[in-house]
Amino acid sequence: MADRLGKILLVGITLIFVVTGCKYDLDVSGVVGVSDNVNERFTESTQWNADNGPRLIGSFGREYTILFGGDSHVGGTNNIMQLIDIAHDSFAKAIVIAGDVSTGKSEDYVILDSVLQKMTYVNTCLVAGNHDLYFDGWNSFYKFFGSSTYTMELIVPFGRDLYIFLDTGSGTLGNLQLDWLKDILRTERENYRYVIVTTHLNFFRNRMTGSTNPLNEELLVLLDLFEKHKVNLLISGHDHNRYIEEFGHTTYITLDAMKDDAEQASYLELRVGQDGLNYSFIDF
Amino acid sequence: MRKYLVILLILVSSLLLPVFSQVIQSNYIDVGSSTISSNAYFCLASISGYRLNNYEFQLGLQGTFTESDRRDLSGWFLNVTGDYNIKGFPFSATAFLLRNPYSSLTSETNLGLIAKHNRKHIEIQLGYNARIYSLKSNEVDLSDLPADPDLKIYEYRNFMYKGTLFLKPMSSSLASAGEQKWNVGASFTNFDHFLIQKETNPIVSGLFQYDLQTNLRLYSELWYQGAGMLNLSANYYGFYIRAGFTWQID
Repeated sequence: MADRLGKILLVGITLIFVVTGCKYDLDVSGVVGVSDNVNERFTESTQWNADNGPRLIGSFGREYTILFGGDSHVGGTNNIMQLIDIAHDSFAKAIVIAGDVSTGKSEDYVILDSVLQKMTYVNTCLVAGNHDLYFDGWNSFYKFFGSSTYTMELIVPFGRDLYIFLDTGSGTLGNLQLDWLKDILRTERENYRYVIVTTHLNFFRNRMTGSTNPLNEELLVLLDLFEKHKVNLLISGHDHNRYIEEFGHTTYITLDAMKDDAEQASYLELRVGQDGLNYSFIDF
Repeated sequence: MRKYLVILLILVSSLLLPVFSQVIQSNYIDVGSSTISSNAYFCLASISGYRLNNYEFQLGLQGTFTESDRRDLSGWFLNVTGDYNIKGFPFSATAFLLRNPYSSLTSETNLGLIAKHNRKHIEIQLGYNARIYSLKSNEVDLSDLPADPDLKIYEYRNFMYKGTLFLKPMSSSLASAGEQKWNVGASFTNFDHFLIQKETNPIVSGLFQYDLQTNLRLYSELWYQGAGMLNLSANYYGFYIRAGFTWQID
């Protein structure tokens, strides 16, 4: 009896993986592991950062705007094209896409690259999500967009703001990236007015969902670190449903998905000024 | 200094509680490595259970000694377990409170219920827990926060599961283990004594146990923690090796 149940379970799980894998562009081999682990990606990212120099943006106004989207899952390009138009029209300083930018397929990275080439004076900041790593996607991500772990500094007349981008595509920061993050916050935090962190993985679960969050011990380390260094915002994607949690000095925001067929596709407009950080979700 | 106090506390609880009758005492050491430990870490744990008829009351203490910012007394729990049999279906149900004071600033509290059912070669546990992440108000700089800041995050829904497959038939208790001197098994779960992962972060483990006497069991376990498995983008996170004993005193 138990033997038969075991076989049924095994066949059932295999069928679920195969069917969902085909239907939703999933690379089911990733359940065992991705070809590039997070420490290797971090090492490549830091090398890319060293080769390409720091990301600095200046702003002369009293306030500036950055647009955040998550989970664009390109192939489809309607919403991301719309976001680019909005960024140009609103003189946004940057577009940030918090992971799952593409399906991971090399042909979709080519489409994504051609779309982002249309950006003339708006900066683009991407981080890798789990989908971006499917089908050996890291190779394409790195080839087209370079690093997935980096900082960006926004210099305004009243101070400087630090944006930190983290690679959580494999469900963990890995020890190298975690040490890098600790070091940046310890040595640099006091030099900046606001610190805003972007990851793909959302930290908390407000509903039953199949999407994975950081492991609990790692999450406690990050919560502790963010509070000690007064990180202002953590903006993430992954769960495809907006969610906001205030916790001490940090606001944790999970974005809606912005892929074309998402039920509630939206982006986040972040306005940064002397009076603080103001954000609002805007539907496509 | 605090480290030695924690070790002393664990030793005292291990030595004093067995003085009382009907006690099941378990002690173990974990040695492991993970993303958050700069090098190897080790944990020392004591679980003392007092049995009264069909009920068992447990106190667990864990000290973690690592280079990270973690507090030395890294976890404690209180459990109450009842054994039941409904229409020939035996099972136990446990209500628990688990505290993980990560640092002087940040901590985690879990409340939950878990049911366990044993077959000949299989042990299944299913449960549910609610989790609270907390910041300690007197450790937070409140000067630049609103008057009533949010210092807690509640996660009301988390599913707990554990399935263990044993090579040889299981004994229902240590005292009736005479027919099996040793056993090996493998588990798929999202929790351990002092750790509850979110339901999408499974852990796998293998175990070996050997009954030195009818009331004394030695055991060893190997736990592997992966990350991102259900995101189909898995990565190594950590592992630990456990060695311990369980002593039943009647």
